[in-house]
Amino acid sequence: MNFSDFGFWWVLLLFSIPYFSVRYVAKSLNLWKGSFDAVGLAAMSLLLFVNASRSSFAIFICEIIFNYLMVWWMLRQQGWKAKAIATTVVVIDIAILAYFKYLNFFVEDVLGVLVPGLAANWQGKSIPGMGSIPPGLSFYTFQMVAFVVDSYTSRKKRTIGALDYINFVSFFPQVVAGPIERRADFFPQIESFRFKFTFENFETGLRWLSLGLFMKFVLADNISPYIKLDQPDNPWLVWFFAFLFTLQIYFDFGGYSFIAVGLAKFVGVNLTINFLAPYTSQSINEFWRRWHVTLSTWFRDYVFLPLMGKNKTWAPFYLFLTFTLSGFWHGAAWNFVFWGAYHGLLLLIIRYAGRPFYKFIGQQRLLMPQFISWALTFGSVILGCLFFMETNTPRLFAKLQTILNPWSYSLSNLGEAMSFFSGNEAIALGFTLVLATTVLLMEHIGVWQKRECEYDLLLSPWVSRALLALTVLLAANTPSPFIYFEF
Amino acid sequence: MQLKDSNSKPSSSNAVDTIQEWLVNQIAKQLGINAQTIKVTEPLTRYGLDSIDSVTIVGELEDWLDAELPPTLLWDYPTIEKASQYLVNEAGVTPAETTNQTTEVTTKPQEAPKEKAWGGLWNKISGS
Repeated sequence: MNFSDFGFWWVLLLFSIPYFSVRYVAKSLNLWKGSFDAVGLAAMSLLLFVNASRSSFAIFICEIIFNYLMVWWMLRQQGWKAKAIATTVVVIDIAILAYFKYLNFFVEDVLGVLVPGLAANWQGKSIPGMGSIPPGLSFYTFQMVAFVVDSYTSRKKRTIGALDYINFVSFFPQVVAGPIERRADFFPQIESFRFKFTFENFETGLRWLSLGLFMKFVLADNISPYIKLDQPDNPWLVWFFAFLFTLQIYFDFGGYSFIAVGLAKFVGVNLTINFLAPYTSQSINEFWRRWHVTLSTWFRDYVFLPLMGKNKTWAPFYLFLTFTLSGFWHGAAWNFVFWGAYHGLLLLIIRYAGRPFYKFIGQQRLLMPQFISWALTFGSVILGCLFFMETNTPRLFAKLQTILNPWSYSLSNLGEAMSFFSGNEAIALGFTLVLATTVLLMEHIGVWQKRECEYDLLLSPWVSRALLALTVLLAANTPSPFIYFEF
Repeated sequence: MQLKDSNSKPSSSNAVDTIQEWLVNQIAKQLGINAQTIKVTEPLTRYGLDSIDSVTIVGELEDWLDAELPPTLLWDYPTIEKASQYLVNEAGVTPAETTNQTTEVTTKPQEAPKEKAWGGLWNKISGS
């Protein structure tokens, strides 16, 4: 759901007031059945989805019906029949995703390269669903695919209720942009769902919500206007804008995920924490265990491990392939493919060349090995973000050329970069960066102290109240769209 | 999961220690680092363990324990301490060596030597 859209909060409020009033009265008269809670949750989720995107909702409803019936059938079959049904569902789900997300790219950027004039001819055609990707399609497709596979591999082939399935795939805090929840973690919470409005849930939910709102509306949205893509000639600016984007994307998507966690907590549901302080990582391996956890584990479980199987000979290639596919999932454009391949390549470099370097660094006593590892990792992530943010491929190559040319790091370019923003702009951006650095520092301390949760300090009562107050005071006037909605 | 020789079930802490020792040695061998420097409480990614190593080591652990284990074990329990505790206390796996107390431990997991100078300062700051 688009948490930065007032429409979301209004619909939530306009549904909640009459629904929970009726529930309260009916409960006091002993007329309320527990199962009405599950009906209410489904109604709330579907209503919010319709409000968010009618086109995506239409596809979503068709997919829910198709997936539920097929899983229902699959659970009654054995052996190859069950496998054939599972395979069919997965193929059709992925085909729907591919149609909306990748057909344009495939025709224009792949076939178009081989067949002259095809791209221009294709652009003139009006094909249904080719305008933009229906919001949330990627996320609910992945969740549905995971459910089919997990149901197929589960030992207990229990029947699944239709209402429970609807609530599993449409749960309003996370349906559009994740976390991508798995059957084992999430389905037991959804089965026989009941609203659990306790003080503890409210308090915990509010803390996550405060952190998420602060990250999104104060940090990400106040950084966003300062990122300029049309500066390919000055390496200092190229690095600086990539750095800003690195911060923005984390605070944007981390913020979204934490708002989702907070909202779910209000009604008594625990969602997976999708980010674990990724910018505290001291290696790219560690980074991928902390960044967008539910997507990384999805690719691990449904792409990497099945590809590799028992034979480890080709494992490095499959690792590279998995990351490239993960990049391609982010968007049907070459820059996302490069971004995925870049991260896959980094992991292989660390595997084959990084270990001797790590051993060398680890033996140093004066160089603070942890700090060097962190700085190299963060620098690599910033460079990766350059691939991620720049969808214009020729300009991406121009920027890479600029940052690789040692002569472009001149003092005159540095002077130009230093005076790029006006006085007021520099102060506003500087203040936002101080706040961002403070948040990251508190995450670092949480990790160093090996706390139960990386965000413990930021979720402490007074800090979370301060974050909420700061959100009211400092939220950007014009919220920028959530970056991950494009995916 | 298989429990070996249930008549002489060892204490769970002994089993946890044995698995920790095995993991320390195996990870040191896999990554080509000194076993003495591996701390059981440190996330394994800090030593450069990647996805391929994780799956490989779990495969070898399965052979050693003669038990079926989830390939994602070292993702779900990312330190040696957590993985060992999960195996013994939750999965109910016990290494055969602990039942007859004949294990020759070649390398006992030890605290990494405290770093001096700035490295030591860094450790103090990080609380490790």
